[in-house]
Amino acid sequence: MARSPIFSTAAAGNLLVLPTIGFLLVFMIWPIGQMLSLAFLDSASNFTFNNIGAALFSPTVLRTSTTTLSIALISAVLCTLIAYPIALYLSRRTGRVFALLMIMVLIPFWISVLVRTIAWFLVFGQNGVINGTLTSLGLTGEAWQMLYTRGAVITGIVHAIAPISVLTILGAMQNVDPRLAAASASLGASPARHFWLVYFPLTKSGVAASFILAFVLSLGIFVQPTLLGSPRETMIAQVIIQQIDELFNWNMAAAIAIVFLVLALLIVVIADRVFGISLAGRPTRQAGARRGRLHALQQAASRRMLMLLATLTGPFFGSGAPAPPGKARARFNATAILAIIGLVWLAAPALFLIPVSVTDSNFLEWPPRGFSLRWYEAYFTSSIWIDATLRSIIVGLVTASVSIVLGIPAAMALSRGEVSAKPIVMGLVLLSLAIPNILLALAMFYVFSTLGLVGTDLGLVIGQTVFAVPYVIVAMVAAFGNYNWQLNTAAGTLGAGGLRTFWIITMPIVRVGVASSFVFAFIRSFEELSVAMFISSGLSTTLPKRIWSEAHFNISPTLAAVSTVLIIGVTTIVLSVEFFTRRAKATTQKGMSHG
Amino acid sequence: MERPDHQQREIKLKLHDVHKSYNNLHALRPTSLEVRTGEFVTLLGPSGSGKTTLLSIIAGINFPDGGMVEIGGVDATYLPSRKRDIGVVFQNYALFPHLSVFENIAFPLRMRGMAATEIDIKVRRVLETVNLATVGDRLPSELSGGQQQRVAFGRCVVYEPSIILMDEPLGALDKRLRDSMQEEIKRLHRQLGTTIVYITHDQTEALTLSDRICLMNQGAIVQSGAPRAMYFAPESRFAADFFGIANIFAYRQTDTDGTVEIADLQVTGKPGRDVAANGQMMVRPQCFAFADGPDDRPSVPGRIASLEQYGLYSQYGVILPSGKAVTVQRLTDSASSSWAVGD
Repeated sequence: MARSPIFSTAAAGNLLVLPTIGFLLVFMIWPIGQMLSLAFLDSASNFTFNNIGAALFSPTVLRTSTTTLSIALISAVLCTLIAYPIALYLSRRTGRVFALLMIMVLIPFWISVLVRTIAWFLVFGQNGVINGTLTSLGLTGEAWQMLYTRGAVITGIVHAIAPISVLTILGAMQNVDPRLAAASASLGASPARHFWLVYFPLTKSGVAASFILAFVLSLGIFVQPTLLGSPRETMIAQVIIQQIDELFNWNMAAAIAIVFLVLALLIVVIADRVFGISLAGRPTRQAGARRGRLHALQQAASRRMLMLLATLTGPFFGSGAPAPPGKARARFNATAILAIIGLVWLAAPALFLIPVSVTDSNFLEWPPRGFSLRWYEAYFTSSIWIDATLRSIIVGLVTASVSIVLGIPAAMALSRGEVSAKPIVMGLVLLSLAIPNILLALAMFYVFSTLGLVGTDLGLVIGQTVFAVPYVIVAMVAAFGNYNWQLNTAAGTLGAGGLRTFWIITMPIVRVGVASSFVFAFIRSFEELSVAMFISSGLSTTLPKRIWSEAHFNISPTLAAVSTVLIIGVTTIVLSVEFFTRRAKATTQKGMSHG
Repeated sequence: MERPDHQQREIKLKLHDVHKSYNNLHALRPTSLEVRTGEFVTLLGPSGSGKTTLLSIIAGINFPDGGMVEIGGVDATYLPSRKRDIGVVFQNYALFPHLSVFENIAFPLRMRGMAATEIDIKVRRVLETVNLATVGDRLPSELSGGQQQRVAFGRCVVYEPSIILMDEPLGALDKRLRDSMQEEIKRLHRQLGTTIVYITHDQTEALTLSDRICLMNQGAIVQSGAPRAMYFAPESRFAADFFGIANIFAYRQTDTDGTVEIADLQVTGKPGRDVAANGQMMVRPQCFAFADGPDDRPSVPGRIASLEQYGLYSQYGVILPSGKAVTVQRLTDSASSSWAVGD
């Protein structure tokens, strides 16, 4: 009898996800565990609750926690409000228009948060875009104080997170059957009623996901409050950084982190209960549960409220009747107007940096004075800037390669569904996307310092790969979503081995997905600040860290020049990825039309 | 055309008690099967009957929990597909979308390290055979369903595997195309003399194509035989029903010489083969004749309860004096119009 196969397919699948699991366990879970355990140790490494107690009752922690939570809540609400019409508008477009609008969301998404914060600094500044414009029009005598306010911080945060909200809500909208609109109309619902009673409830899961995601992401933010806020806007991440950077008190930093994480988690859980929204975006109501009078009342109340909303907003939706012949149907409705304002708001701030980068003035001011390339000269002739740029590029390329090598086999196994370890991988991926980057970076800093990895490029690559691998996995699972795995079976029957099939069948078919995963892993690493702040040492910094140090000290036109280089670089990359993806799609579609 | 006498040929594929379960569900009960060189064997059955499991075990896509698979006299039970010398035509063809028709067909030859010039000759010959010589450099997505099907078949025959397995290869085509592709498959089978194991749930397709049909149900082969035998001499109610409308009658042995009586039809006679003393027998609906007048055949009065015109034939629901309802079909012709509901 022939020998039976050594590995079942499930075992082979687990083998493919093993490297990723191992990598994330060692470089993500272990550091987090180490750091959190510090919270329960005193300076002599004895077990104690004193740190937690001190963190709980510290007035500073209490004040910054309150600030952080209120800023995060307001930001999450605003993000969702701004993102919904944009997503709605996008979900109704197809083809070229959709692609164009999508690019308008994606470019701000991929432009470094640092660059975008510097842009808002320019917009809000004493001599910034708004004040400068108002003054030059002679509308105001004295400058309007916008910088170093809570409004500026929240604007910066919302601007940073809104693209993610758009993508989240859009995902939910694309699952709604477009024929429902026609069904509603045939059953007698006006467009407004269709929207509030049918469409909105169906996209509620996306709204909930967007809200919670935006809230969680806002919690860990430190760039915007540092550059755009005053001490009154100090957020919890800054306090934690301060504990380590200035006070070298790891135990206290860890304790604050724990207290804060628990608080944040509590709020998410309460929000989930109160609003009946679900994290995972699936319907919360289980069969049989929540029946009865109370639930019926709740339903009736919510239906009445939605009906009321429909009546109130009716004029914005129109009658739904076809336009009379000869008269073109109105091209712009409320959604379109809100969406276009939102998209312009997403794109505009960064654009102001471009003219300022060629100013002849020594300050960041609006309108720019004269024309000079000296800020670009300052950048390109400075060995510090160029070294940092080159290091970022090299570290980015290596990070992207490692992430691809780890992520593709894992994504393959996950999308073939032959892995029993799937929940572990998905858990790790979600954790790395949800945990505040700064906490993870600090945890890695703590562990890497004992391993001698701090200040090395290897340490940087490892740290940034932890952030990039989940992106690659998510993107590649999506790319494999349309892949027909029977091709691999077919190749097997035709005489090809597993590895050969991978290289000549699987890879060529998903190559566009691989390329875009690689590019985005690269950008993610290239712009990464948290890891770079702690892991790279003074002399060998990356570009974002260099910008961060400089911005801390003085936001000069040099930063506008560097930012412009980054904006142009990222825009070029996003556009070329889009171009190649479209071309690949066009080839298949051209084929399909013949078939 | 005379069918080759398969009984004389060697056994190409031999399954001995192969079985497979998923989570305690018997996808395939212990099954044995022998297929001879050049034979066209069809695995026929409803979905979930185990035919695809059986095929994937033969192909080495799946491995059995126990039993043995022999291909060409060699134990292949746990051999991976690529070492089995088999070819599979998949239900949705599984053509490589990024490779041209030519490259799709050349693929198995390249895997076998054949010289480029030889590949060129072989692929061109196969393209001729499957009538695709003019579309060699197109991508699969630029072809019609029928053409894609032929590429899948060409990709299989080009390396002359000892067995070709076909998993509902015509399932994705419309009826008209299916009929012409059946002709094509028959022609290619005759021309190339390959051994084919074919899967379908369509009994007409099985009856048209096969040398032998293995009818499967609930994870086991319930009956196997030549198409004609399967159609007229089913061994079970399931088999009788699966091949079309079946009128089932109970019979009773009335004499020791084997004479039986069918009470519903008021007839007695000797069955053509040995049967159990009491049981059920089947009459296909088209085997009834209407008694238009005096006839020397035994006749039985009946009342027509329903009538459906199907074009080529008409189908009558007839109630016999015993109260038994039977289905009767006859070719639609001018005479048949004289029969109406109530007669």
